[in-house]
Amino acid sequence: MTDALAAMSPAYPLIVGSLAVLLFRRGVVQDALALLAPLAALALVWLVPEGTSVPLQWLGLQLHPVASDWLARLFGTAFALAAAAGVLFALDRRSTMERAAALLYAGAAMGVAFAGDLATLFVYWELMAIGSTLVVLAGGASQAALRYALMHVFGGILFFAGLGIVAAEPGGLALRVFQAGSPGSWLLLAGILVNAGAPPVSAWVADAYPRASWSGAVFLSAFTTKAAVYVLIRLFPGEAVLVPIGLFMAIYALVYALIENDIRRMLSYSIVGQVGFMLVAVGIGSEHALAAAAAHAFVHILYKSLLMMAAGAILRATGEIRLSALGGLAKLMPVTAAAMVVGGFSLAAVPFTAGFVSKSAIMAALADDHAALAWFLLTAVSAGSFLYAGLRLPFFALVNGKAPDTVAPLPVSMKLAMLVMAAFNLAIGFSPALLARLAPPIGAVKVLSADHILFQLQLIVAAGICFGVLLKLLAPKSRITIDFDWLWRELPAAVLGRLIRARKQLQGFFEPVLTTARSGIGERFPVWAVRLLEAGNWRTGDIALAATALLGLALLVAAV
Amino acid sequence: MIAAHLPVLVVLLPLFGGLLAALSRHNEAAFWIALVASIATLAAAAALAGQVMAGGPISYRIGGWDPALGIEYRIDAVSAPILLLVAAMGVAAIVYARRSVTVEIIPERVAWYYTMMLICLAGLLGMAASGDAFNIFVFLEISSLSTYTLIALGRDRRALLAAYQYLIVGTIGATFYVIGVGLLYLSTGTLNFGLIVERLPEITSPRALIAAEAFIVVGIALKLALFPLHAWLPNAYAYAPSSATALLASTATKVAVYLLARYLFAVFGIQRSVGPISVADALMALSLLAMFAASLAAIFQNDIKRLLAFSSVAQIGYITLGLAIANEAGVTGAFLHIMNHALMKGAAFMAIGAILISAGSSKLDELAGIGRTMPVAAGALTVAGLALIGVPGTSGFVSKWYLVLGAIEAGRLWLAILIVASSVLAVLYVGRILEVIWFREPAKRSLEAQAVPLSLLAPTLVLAALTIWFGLDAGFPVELASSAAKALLGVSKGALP
Amino acid sequence: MATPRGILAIEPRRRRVLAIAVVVLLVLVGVDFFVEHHGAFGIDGTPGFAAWYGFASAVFFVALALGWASLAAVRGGRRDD
Repeated sequence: MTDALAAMSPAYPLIVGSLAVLLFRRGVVQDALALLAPLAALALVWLVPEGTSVPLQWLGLQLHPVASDWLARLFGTAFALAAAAGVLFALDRRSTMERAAALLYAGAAMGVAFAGDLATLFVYWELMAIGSTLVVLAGGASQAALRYALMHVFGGILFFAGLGIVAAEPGGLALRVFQAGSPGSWLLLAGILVNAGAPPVSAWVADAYPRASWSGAVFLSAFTTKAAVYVLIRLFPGEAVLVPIGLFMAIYALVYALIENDIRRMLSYSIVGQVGFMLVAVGIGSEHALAAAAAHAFVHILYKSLLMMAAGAILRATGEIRLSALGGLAKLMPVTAAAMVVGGFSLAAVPFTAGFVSKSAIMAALADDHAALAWFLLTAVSAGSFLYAGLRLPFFALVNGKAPDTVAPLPVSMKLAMLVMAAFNLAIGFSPALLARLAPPIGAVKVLSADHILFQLQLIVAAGICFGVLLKLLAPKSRITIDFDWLWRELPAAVLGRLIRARKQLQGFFEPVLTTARSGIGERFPVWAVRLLEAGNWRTGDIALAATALLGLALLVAAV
Repeated sequence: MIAAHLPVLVVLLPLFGGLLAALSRHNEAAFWIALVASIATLAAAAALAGQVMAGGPISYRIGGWDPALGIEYRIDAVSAPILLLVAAMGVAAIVYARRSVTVEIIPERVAWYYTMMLICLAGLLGMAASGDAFNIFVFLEISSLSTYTLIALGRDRRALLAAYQYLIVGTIGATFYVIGVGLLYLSTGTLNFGLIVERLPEITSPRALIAAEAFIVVGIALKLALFPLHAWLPNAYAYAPSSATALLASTATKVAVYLLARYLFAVFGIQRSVGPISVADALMALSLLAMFAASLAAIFQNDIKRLLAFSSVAQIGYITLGLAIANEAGVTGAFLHIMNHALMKGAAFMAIGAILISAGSSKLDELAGIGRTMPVAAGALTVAGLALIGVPGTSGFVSKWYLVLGAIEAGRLWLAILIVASSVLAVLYVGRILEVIWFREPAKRSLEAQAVPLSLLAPTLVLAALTIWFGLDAGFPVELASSAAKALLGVSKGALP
Repeated sequence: MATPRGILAIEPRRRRVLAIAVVVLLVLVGVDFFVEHHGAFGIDGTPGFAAWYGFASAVFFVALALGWASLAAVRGGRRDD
């Protein structure tokens, strides 16, 4: 029994569920299956015994499809909860494709968490890219989905290249700690960082997630980036380069979140920022810091799902997601409003929310390590986070401005999903021991101490005063700010246009020279270069010539 | 009784089948003859493969003559997988041909078309089965001549030109090959592979041998479209009838690669240096050039058939690269890719053939959104495309995996990186196709596409499914390929210093 | 009464809320003098550090964000949306 369980990855119920959903028509059976799959996965997360499963032979490789320890269970629990709540939230979304894709996506993330070797990890990693692309695609934005897919193909290639190189090392495919030094480990790190939303490709998060459907974004916010954090904890704990990268992400994301108008884009930037916090902690690398990063990932999944649900509910009810076009929703949508406030406060680490617990763990780990720069910067970013998540977002969406006359009613399932997630956030906030049970090393941090709560309250109230004073400056405006995606969305076109123009100019300049040169040397040189590529338009004689030349060359070399 | 004659039956079945099909002069009858003959051939090939895997190499003397005088057929771990592959692809292509010929071939010529397919199969199988250098030349010519006809039967007028060009080039290749064989005969006094290998150490002057090697290798390189001798291939594949393209792309070049491997490993020795550079290094350089230059060229094609043809040149580069790496993992990778590429490219050409038949075009810019109207064919094309990239879960990944492994074992990390880097180019050309067929709004042609008959889709889907199957459970092809690699490398050690 | 102008012109309701917030902050800082601190870097253990540091950071990031927005804003939509 135990052996059979040991070989059961918690990913399987989700993947099977994904396929099963496709087999059934929309209806009660399909709904039940979709809800059951994440719950079965959650059960397996805790039933699979700790340790590594019996190896599987494939292509002469030793694979360990399932390996469990507290870290895998922590992420597995978070992924299963996010999937379950997400499915509940999306219960009346009429898209079987999105539902199947989301379950596949969740299953792949789960597989990553429980992978016992690099090859298995990579397979689930790619499956995750496919699942998430389909989720984006189900929202109807095919161009954005394509960009998203290309970005993940790029990341996947980096990862795979790195994998190929490190697999040749003595450690083989075993999961182990790497130092970013050799080309293999650099490639691996780069591939993971693409998924984590690190610079210079951070913009894919805010490009793709807001274009998913009102329910799709909930799934998207939970898995990819956190799975990347998980893999970093496994493979690159204490990698110093992660600290500056994480700091940059935290600040970059804060800047964009503060000026963003689209709620879901703001939340997407916020994902990058919070992953930045986690990266800093992974870069510090002490046992306590790693556990804090994991705990923060867990909590982040809870509150970011909640916020994305609230945003999705607003989009569904009003058909609008821009802050500048919203306002006064608190009375019309009380549950959503409460969810948004709880989520925002949790994100901003207001005491007695889950975010406070995990962020305190991270800050305590930084303080223990005497990482002064990181500590001061992240404390400042924390204050800034409250500006947008705790104040700007709820104020302009829920309080300020004219409320719409009517909003579409929300189904019970959506409200229920939000209430459940909000309850999780508050439960951990009031009882930090719940989180410490998942991530034992952070148990030592005394979170709810007087000086600590006071510290955070001062930070928040001070930021609140700043918000009150500068309210008009922070009013949402419809604008587009250049982001990293300019690099791949605008630059190529600009360069290409420039090149074409430059070529024309050069042609005008060189044409007379070239003409004389051509008649002088004969036409063969440039033609050959083109021919070599454009085969098929070779003259038969040229082919014969090439063959003869090759033969002659071989004979000549042999004769020497 | 029959079992003893299998090595020759595997060649004679399609040959006589072709004869019958020609005599029948009736389209429907020709198809059934071709189908029966090809299935019988496949059964024979499978039985042979089983015998070889169980009991080692099989030697068959035609007419009971001693190999020194007569012709010996020799089926071993190297040729058995090739026989199996060619016979299997033959069945798939003939099943596919039933409906595709009605659109693509003038009715009066359909029976001839089947005849030519069978004779081409006979030639290819003969090349793999025979252990006699000159007999191989004969089969080479048989397969080539039928191939020219197959290409020329395409409806497009450019097919004639492509066939003509291939005729000239193929003839040059065959001539080089036969000159090489002549030189080999001069130095060793025999045409039998086994005897040649035995007598090689006694040769005092290696000059003639080197000349023989140059002629034979260049001759075969023309047939297998090794870069830069690949220029005949894109047009030939692009304008041939769909079923012929599928057959040729997945068998003809593969048998030539097999022949190259035979000569390089068993006869001449791959690590031998000709002057300052070794054969392996030269082959490796040309393979790398093929992988990159042909992939680059593929990116800029508009006709999907031509795009896939260029991709074939690049993929052949992977195969020859595996041979050039010349260790067990590398050669295993090469033989795996021979089989896997045959399956995926067969699926790809069949899928685009089905699209061409239904929508009337294989041009990328006219097929926008075809995935919405022809999801099955487009899906098969997608699977094949992903396999061309080497996405895990497809067979392409497995063969590339072995190639990378071989490169790393040979201590050439840069080579492994180049193999992965060239996959990026495949991502580009496959990505272009996928973007157009799935993500664009359907174009006029796509909307007007006719329903595809099942007999076109069935073989396509079988090949696509095998591509996935061998990506997930690679046990069977890996076993075939690694025993082929072991056999080749085992011989190689004893052949030449 | 003249209508408020400029960004610092504050309407009465907001003024009331702000006043309450300032009072709350002052109380918090006051209490902060009476609890035991565990600062790791010295300055962060001083009473009222979080209050002024939080305010300064918030102002700093608002300035940074708006500055960046005015620098890097582009007009119109994106080419490939």
